[in-house]
Amino acid sequence: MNDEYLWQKTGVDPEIERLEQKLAVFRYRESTPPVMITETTVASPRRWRIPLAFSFAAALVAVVLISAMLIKRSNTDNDAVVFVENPEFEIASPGPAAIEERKVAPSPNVVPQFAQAKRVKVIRASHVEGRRPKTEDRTPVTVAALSREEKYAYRQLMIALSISSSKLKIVEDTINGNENIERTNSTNQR
Amino acid sequence: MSNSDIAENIFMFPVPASPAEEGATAEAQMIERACTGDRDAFTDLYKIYAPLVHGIVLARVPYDEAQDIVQEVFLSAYNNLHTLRDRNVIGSWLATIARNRATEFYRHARPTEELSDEISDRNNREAGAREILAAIRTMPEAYRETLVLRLVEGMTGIEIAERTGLKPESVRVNLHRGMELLRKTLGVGGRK
Repeated sequence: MNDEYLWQKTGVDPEIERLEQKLAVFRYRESTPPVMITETTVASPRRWRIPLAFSFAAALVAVVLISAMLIKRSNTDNDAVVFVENPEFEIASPGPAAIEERKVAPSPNVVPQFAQAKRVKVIRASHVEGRRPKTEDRTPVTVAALSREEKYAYRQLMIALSISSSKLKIVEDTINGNENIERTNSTNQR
Repeated sequence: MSNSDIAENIFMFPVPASPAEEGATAEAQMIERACTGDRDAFTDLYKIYAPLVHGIVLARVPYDEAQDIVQEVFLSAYNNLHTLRDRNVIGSWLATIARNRATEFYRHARPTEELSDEISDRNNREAGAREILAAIRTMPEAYRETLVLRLVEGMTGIEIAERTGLKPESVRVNLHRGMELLRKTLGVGGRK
């Protein structure tokens, strides 16, 4: 075997030449390179991610703000504003005072309880010049602005409510007392 | 730094680059151009390295499948050319891709057998060639690749070393030992 022919095809080696001739049928035949598939430039969805997130967040914030404004507006519509300026009446509670001495009569200049109802906003203030109520479209009802007859009617109404509330209190105490009595009796019987 | 650059620094005058260095530089430029989308540059690379890839593939898979796998190897190389950092090792890089593709072929393909001599071969010459190729494929990997590149693709030992990135001494040893083994397998005189 001629090593030089095997290494760099110099010289002669009939055996290797014969092998080369036979194996030449499998030799690479020149062909065109494969059709290169170039990557098409497609707009990456990543570009849309940030604006989409921003628009979504902005829409969410807008919805929250609008709903908050609507809720606030509906609350202000429902609120009744009553200005009580230096009430001239005293709420007498003759019922409870007559029955029990330890019941203390309400102090003067007290806003009636019905005025402290859930959705009624009571603003008690001495009149300050230049200060205007927050809701301008609503005319405040002042006792001082009432006529004499209206004041009388209003006072009578307050007295009636006070009496009825004291009666209700008596009934409530009576019921509670009866219950205690009944409970004591049943315990004794056992 | 290349040898010519070192010589220029020592002797202070331009020294012509060796043919191997010139070839490497030209190929590096081709790769650079191919990376920028120059298809002509890639076609030139294809013409240079297609026989190498074909030989490596042919040492593993049937001849009928080799051409398709060569195309796949270059398609993969084109799409991943930008990942090649050292432009001077494209030969060994392509050889690695070719070996992997050939391995994948057997992983995914159905087991097939080449047609017998009576059916597929029209003459005894081709039958003899198939027999020799089958004998080469039974050899260790280092021998069969080198022998196919030498005997089938007609490359010299130096060309094999340059293309594959192997040391010339290794290629020479592989050629010598592989040839001796082939002679033993085929019988003295070339045939059993």
